[in-house]
Amino acid sequence: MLAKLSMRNAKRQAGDYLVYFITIVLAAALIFAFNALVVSSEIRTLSTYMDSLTLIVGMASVVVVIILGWLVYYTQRFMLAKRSRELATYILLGVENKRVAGMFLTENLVVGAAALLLGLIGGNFIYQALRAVVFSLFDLPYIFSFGFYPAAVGLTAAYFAAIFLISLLLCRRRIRKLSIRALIEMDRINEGEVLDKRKPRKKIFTASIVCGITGTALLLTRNLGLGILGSFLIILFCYGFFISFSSGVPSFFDKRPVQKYKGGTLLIFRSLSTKLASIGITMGTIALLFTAALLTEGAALLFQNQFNQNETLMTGFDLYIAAPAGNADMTAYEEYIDENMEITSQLRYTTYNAKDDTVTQYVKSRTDYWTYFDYDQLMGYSDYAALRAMLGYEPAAMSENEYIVHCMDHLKPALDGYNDKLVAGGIELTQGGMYNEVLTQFTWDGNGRGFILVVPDRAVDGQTASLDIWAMMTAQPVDGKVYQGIQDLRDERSNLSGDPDIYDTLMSKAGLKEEYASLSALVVFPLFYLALVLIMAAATILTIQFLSDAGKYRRQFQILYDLGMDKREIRGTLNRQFAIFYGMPVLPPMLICIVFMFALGQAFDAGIIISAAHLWGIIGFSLFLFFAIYLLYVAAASHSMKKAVLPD
Amino acid sequence: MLQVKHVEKYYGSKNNVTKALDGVSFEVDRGEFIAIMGPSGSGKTTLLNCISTIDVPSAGSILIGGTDISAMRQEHLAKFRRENLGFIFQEFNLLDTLTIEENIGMTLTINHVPAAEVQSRVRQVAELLGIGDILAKFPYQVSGGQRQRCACARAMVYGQNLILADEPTGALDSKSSKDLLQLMSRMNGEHGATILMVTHDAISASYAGRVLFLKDGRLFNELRRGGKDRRGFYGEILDVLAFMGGDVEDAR
Repeated sequence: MLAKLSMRNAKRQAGDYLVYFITIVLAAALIFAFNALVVSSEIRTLSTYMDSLTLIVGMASVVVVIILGWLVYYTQRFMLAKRSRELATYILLGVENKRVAGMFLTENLVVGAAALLLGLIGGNFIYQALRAVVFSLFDLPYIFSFGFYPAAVGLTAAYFAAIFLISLLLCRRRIRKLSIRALIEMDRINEGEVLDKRKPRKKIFTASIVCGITGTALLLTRNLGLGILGSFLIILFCYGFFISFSSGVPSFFDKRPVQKYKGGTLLIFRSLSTKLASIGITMGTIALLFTAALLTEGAALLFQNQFNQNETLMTGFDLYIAAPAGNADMTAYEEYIDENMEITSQLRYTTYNAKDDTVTQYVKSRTDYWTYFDYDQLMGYSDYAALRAMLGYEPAAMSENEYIVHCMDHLKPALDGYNDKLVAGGIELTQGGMYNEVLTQFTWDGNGRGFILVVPDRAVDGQTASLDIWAMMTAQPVDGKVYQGIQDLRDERSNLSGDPDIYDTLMSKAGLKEEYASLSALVVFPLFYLALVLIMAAATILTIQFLSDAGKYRRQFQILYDLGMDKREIRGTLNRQFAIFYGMPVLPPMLICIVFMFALGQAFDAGIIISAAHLWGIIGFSLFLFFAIYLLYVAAASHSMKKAVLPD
Repeated sequence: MLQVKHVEKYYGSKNNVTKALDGVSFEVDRGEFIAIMGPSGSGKTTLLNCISTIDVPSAGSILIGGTDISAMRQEHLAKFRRENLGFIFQEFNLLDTLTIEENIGMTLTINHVPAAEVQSRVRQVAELLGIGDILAKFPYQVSGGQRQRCACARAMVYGQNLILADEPTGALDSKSSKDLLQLMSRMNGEHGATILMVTHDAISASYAGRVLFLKDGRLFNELRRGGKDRRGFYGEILDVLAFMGGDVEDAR
């Protein structure tokens, strides 16, 4: 009989806590999908870098289990409080505490098991989506193939068991210790106002704001110690702000009755402060989770951008080998390349030092630029023209007495006004144009550092050689193993020479693609995984909290309707209450995240973030992704709330 | 002030119709204190709901201050209700999250009274009803009697034309009930409030100037207090109840 009752309750619970149920189903699906990624041999063999995926996803999973553990424990405690009268009735009727606790445990295990099962099914689809993204990162065609991953199923089940069992055992202990009276009173017990209504709250409110600003500022210093301190201050801010805010608002309005009675302010601020007074700590935790989610997601997008930019900007050649002039010995490479690759076009050329670093100094004075070469770098026009042809760029015309500036896109504004004459090889040259396509001029060891000056061939005669370079285009993208072979040759040459300066620069378009695709999978995926779980957990708690008050809101609005408030006003008041309740825990994290992303954006090499608009675009996209998920919860809660609350 | 003309109210579907009100007609003058009595299921609450515009009669009309509310469109009813009617409910129906002052002030806010006037008007009426010292408290911090006084203040603070009370003493102890009924008598006598009270308690009804008796959805009888004292009027009410077949429990 009790088992039947228990099953019925488990079913009913799924209806009452639909948002929670959907969240844990999604969480199970995500856990499974990422574990399947780890155990899938086709993914792991994509690159040697992917060996680290197990460790990284494993670490992310530990964090996910902790977050979900908190979500499940919080919700189960919440359910326990809401159903305490029902449980007390069972005990009153003579059922032992032990059996009631067992019933609660069974119900929740059924809910957990159902979520796990659905999650495993749904997880396959998420896995397919992840697989498709990984394949596209590696420029491989995606073909649907269904695989069974017992290890992933086992890991997901183990994580879920850990989450549910610990939480349930804690709840079971609680029920077994509770008396009937305690159970009956449980649903009336709130968190309790942490601060009483006197002066300390004002001080704490002010202190929390100071903590928030200082914490954010410390995060910007890019110093590990200060960053940890900053994070700690942000935690203090989140809690301090919500604990004191809920107590401070009524006192603000008590002193300003005119503002209090204006429009719907009274109802909104009272409902909100009453709610916040009882869940200030929960709101602080939710804000903290949102902050973590936004930071994680923002960092993921910035890293993704860096990987994309690096891959694009580093080189356009299928293979690029450079060595300091005078130390270059390409013999070993030649033999190996002859055996393993089919070259379609190639050029061996030299870059030269100009007589000084006038242009470098000019750039440095006008933009964020770090110097590598002591002299401006020169390239002969015929080499330049050949390289352009190899890369498929339009020819760049230049007369005999001119020079061309070929720079990175981000240096263009700094160099735009540079029209000075250039003297090279004793010839005076005037500026004849500026180009900015990718010509392996991004890094320090490429065709110049950020820019190179292209001069007539006769102007480089007799100049000091800087780098000897071999650029190649191949029939097929350079294979990972072949590229590894070339890297081994480079290392061997360096080791044999005993001179640390002899370390040739190697770049391969396909190699870079593989490296950055792997980095995306290793860094960006887990960060998104964490962000997603953080948003889902926090939004679920918020929604459960809000919807649990549906009865109170319904009564409130029914009274107001009876008193003559019209439905439009009631709807408006509810909407405003709703917007504030869901907006408050997001606003501080949003501000922190924007500041943090700006700081992090500045930390990247120049050229990774092209402009302020580019950075704003990334921030905007980060917020868009966050709100796309968050608003789903808001919409679900809004729909349920309106249905349950508004008078007929 | 209030004219109820041949009001009928049916519930249910075609094959199973329940007639809650069956041709009820009566009038209430401005400044009157009238009680409507009847046993459970007699139609008292249905009648009150129809007068308070919360329910719509199936036939007949109800005029308040000359306005036929039964013909009024839904969107105008809320406005009419907040401007003309005050409510006192059995369970107080105060908003738990608001203080006593704010609960009273809510009526003014709903009626878009300028915010600067709200506090002074609330305090004025609270002093009048003897709850000036508990304005800063929340409903759960005061007694049932004080909560119902707050409801009374809310019902008259905007100068509503008609106060509708539904078993106002139902949740109060005898001392608080007596205090509340005396207060309502004062509201009626000294401040000219028109009160229509639904009750099945003979003692409560004896504070009114006139009592209408409902039975099975029809008006069964009517008693006027006239010059009689309250005790004598109470006796007459009990007689009518006994004649109606009501048990003593019905009259409490």
